[in-house]
Amino acid sequence: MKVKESDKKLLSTFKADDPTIQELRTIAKNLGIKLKRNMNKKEILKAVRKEIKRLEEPSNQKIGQVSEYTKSTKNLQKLPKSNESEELPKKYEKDKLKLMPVNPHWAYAYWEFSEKSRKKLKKLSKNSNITIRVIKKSTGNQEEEKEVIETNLELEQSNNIYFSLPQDDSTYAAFLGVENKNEEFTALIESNEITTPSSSLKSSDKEEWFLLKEEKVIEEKVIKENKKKGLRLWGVEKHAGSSEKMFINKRKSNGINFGRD
Amino acid sequence: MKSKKGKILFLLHAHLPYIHHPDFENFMEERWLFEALTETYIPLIKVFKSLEKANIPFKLTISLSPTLMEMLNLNDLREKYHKHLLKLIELTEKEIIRTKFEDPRKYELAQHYRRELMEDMEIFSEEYHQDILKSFKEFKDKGYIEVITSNGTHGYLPFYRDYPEAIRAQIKSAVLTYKKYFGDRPKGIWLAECAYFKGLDRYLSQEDIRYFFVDTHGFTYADSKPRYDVYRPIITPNKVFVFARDPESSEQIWSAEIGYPGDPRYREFYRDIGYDREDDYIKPYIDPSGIRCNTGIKYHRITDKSLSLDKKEIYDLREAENVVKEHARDYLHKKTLQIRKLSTILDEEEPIIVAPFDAELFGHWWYEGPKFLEELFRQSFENEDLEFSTPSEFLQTVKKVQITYPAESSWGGGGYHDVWLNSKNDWIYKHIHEITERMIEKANTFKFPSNLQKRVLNQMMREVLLAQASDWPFIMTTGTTIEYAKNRVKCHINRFFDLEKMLEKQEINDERLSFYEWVDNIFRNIDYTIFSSDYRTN
Repeated sequence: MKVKESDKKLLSTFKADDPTIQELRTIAKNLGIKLKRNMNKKEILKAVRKEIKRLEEPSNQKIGQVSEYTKSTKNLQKLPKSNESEELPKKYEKDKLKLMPVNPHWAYAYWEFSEKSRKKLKKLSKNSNITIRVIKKSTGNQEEEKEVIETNLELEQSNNIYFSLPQDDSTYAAFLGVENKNEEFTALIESNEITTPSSSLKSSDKEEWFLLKEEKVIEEKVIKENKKKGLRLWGVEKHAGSSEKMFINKRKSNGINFGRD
Repeated sequence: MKSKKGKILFLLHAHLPYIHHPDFENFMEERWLFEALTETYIPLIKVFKSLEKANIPFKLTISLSPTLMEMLNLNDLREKYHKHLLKLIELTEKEIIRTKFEDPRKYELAQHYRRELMEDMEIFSEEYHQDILKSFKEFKDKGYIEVITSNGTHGYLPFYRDYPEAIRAQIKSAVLTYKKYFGDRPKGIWLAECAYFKGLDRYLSQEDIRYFFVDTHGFTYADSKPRYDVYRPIITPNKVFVFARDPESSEQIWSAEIGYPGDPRYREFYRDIGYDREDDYIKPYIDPSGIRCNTGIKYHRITDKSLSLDKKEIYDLREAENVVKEHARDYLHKKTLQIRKLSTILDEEEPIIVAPFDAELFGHWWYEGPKFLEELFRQSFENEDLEFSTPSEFLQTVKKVQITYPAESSWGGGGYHDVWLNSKNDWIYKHIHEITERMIEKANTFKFPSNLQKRVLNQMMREVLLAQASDWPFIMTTGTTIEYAKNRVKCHINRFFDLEKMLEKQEINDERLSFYEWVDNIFRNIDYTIFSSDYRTN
């Protein structure tokens, strides 16, 4: 028997609420269950659950319908517990170099190689260093890309690193490759580009404003009087984080935390 | 000259990670939800009821994360919470007998706790039939609160910026989950951890989300400095409004040094009978393993922050109630002065002060927090300088708004991403990015799946989203349940790979699939196509 659309709605009602005996009778009726007059709530509930279980067996499934897992001892012995896990794969056999900004002056990089690249690197590294180069990408005012960091790696060392970056609000990319004794660098893997967050005030003599009613953008000159009036911008040291963090971290916890400090 | 009125926007962000272990009768981390219900969510509902009964208008914004909404809707968690409440009531009854001979003040508190828990039970079971979301919907529909959402599983979005499909999936799951429980689309969003990067607003715009929030420095270092600092919203070039946190207004409440919750007359969070009572007595009310934990029954006050827990003095409920009134008065006085000052600076514009908090600060960490909120609304009723507002209400008054992009930022320690990316948790991203990439690939490949394949793909989607939750790296950095967080990341990633293998080998193990569906039973109304590259928004 297929579950009708109306029945599906009823089933979700049944699952989400604690139905009254009247509601249960309606659900049972819609599911085509014959009820005896003298049945109490518990008995009707049992009959409804039985029918739902039957409807939701894989053979009766419709797309997207919930499969209720039956908690039998037999099943639970075969399956892991919901809090059990195994170790994660060591590698994914691909060439990858990923950059992630941490803050205005730090970035994190992780990488891995396919077996093919690993062999190639091993061969090349006999006469060269395996190197990660970080490049600051050019902006409109600069003429060329600028190398900012270079780090030599051991092939078997851990596959991640943190870089200190010279400038906030700037775009960087990384290259993993080999550098020979003549300082010639051959890139094998290129990372994604990142832009570090800004930590400096922008100055401009113009502001853009949007007039909601007219749906129009206008330009206005920056008003300098604000400083005189005492309107102040807050310093970065004020940016401490979430409410609980500050309140709780200053005090010694002696027990189970709430999972959010 | 009489000052113009200004507005205060209070926002409570209610979020808990998805913790669901239906194969365990008791699971320690599930208590986080039960504690939040007893100490924060239900007390907030009591505040709403009390204010409504007294005809006091109030305006509050609450963001409910989709993971929290989904947990509040799970039958087995509802049942577990019901049992948890019954146990607590039983414990208070024992405490009433016991404290009668210990200390009259403790005896009075034990009676108070029993009364409170009985009221909680009445609200949870009788009035809302275990569906607490209904109460939030009720007060939303009455116009008292503006309910918004947060990204699907509270994923830390700046780390997925290279995967537009993943950002879309987090936002789309947020919108669809909100719609499922509240019937309409969310007007705004509280981005998980207030984490914003340039371009994120475009995704919000595609989902018709009108506004979001950033921390103070999101405005300070914006592309073009906001003329009115954090006291007016801005609009991004993608036509999404942005509000920024006023540091002064939130610090007065949560700072350990100058904030109200640290007052010596308030209740001490860390002195709980879960740790104080002897093993045999407390055993039925803590974790069955015997690990001590909070019960919520506490008899002591902060007294002095420098004192050890055993030196704390007994808590006086009536004294604390007076302090709440005093603090609400003080806060409103400070806000009044701030509004007056701002009114003279902000030309013709009305200032708005934005004060966002983690909801759990009110009630869970700061026991008197909900009463403080109630007092704020009661006392602000007559205030001529300021009134409480919600983002949507305030935006109706905006005629002209500055256009700029806020700066990349978060409200975590340091103001950027350090809390969620450091040597304690960086190992997770290689794996989460891997399954994110594979999920996108699968969503693009499987255009016409069979019913069974679709079930597998949908479950893979759930595992990816759950692995992306910001809570796991957060706990690894700061928490006390680090092993649990590590384990959760591993669980979701391994489940994903197991399901992927089933799909590729075309050998679907229904029993294991059903088990994963049962445990990670989230976003039932959403399918895996939200990860496809050509997914149509709206």
